[in-house]
Amino acid sequence: VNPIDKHPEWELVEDYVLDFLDAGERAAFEARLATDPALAREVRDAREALSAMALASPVTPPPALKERVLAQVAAEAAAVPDPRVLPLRPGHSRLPIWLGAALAASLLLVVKLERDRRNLEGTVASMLVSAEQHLYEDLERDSLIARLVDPGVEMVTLAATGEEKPVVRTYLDRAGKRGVLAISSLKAPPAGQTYQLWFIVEGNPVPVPSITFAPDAEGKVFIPSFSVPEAAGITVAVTQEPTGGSVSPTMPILFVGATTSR
Amino acid sequence: MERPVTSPTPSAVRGPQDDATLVRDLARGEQRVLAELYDRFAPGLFGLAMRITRDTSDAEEVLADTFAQAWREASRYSSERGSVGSWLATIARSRALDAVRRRTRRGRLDDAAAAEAEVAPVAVGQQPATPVATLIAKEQATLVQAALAELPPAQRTVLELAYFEGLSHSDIAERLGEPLGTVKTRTRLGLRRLRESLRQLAPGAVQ
Repeated sequence: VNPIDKHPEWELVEDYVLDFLDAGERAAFEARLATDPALAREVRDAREALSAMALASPVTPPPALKERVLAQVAAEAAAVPDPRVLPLRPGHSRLPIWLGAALAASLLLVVKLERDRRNLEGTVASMLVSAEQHLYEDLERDSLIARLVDPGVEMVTLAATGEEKPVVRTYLDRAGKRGVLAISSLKAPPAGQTYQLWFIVEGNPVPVPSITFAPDAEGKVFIPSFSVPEAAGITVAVTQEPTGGSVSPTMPILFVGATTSR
Repeated sequence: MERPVTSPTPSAVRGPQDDATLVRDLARGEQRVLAELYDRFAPGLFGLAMRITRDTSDAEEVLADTFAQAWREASRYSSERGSVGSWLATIARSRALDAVRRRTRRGRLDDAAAAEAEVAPVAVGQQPATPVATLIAKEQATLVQAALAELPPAQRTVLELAYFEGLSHSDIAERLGEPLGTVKTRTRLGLRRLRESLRQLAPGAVQ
């Protein structure tokens, strides 16, 4: 039996690796790819053959290029920002005066009341958490608006595979690697279950850290910020999982959509 | 032109597992392994970048960006999804096609040159940067070229237009003046036949 007769989706392997599929076809193919190891092997073999063809005409690069490449990476490594530092947009390049004043006052108190150091540190920590929270909320709201109106943001509408047809949309900032999820008219999951967001990259499901969710009383879900992987093509999917989420998706995929930008 | 190269040393002969180990080391921040990956893959990747961009300056940029991206994304590489060579080639192809699109948008693309099917050999550099790696790449390339030569020319043409120029089915049909269905069939048959030929002639090229 010809393997393609047995597995009709194998007919699309070549089209998939050569980027011939449209967004819907690609999303459906990748949803299948995520759960079919044999199909994944076919895709891998086809990619290896293309890569062999790609690398079959070696040309010696200019000798100086190696040093340039190594220097470029060394410079990037040195310039990688500390992820613990929240990036501030222009206009927020300095701490707000009230936060600076709070910090200064807190530090003075620490010096004066050394005997009560432990209690005071707790107070200062609470002040800082509160102050930071307000600062983060302001920045988050500003950056959310900026993310949604940025021309580089791609809206991906997820198609429902079942009878329920809520509106499920993600807004993906590929350059900034951040995304927004907005859903309306979503039914509550059964008891003990939750919804979970996934990315499927090159046929492999990638859980979005900690993004499990349930709708509010009006059936709405809004997640203002989550990480988006850097990849040429991304399929976004939602499944239903046991409360707490899963490390691999439980079939079937309920909602699925794919980016059109590469 | 490249100078003749001498025989390879055992330390230069690496397999896919060694490559994957190098990338794991890279993901741990060990920049020194980047030089080894460069020696092993730069000739093939530079040839790919030249083939797509047809411009030495753009190809150099593509090669530099490819290794920079590999460094940034090393932790996401999975040997289960493919070989290191395939991973790097995918990055380089994407970067090179982006470079061509940018150039096209700027209106600097030489249409006449772009329409040529083959790229003339490129003489760059007075000294081969990595003679041993270049020799190994050349030996492998000779076997892959033999596998490619076994493809019917029509199938090879559609495969090359799709891969090296990033053309869609309909773009290729228009370029060749062939029906869309014919192009689809040739593409699928061509890639399947290439996989089979590589398995027989150059098993080391497809891990």
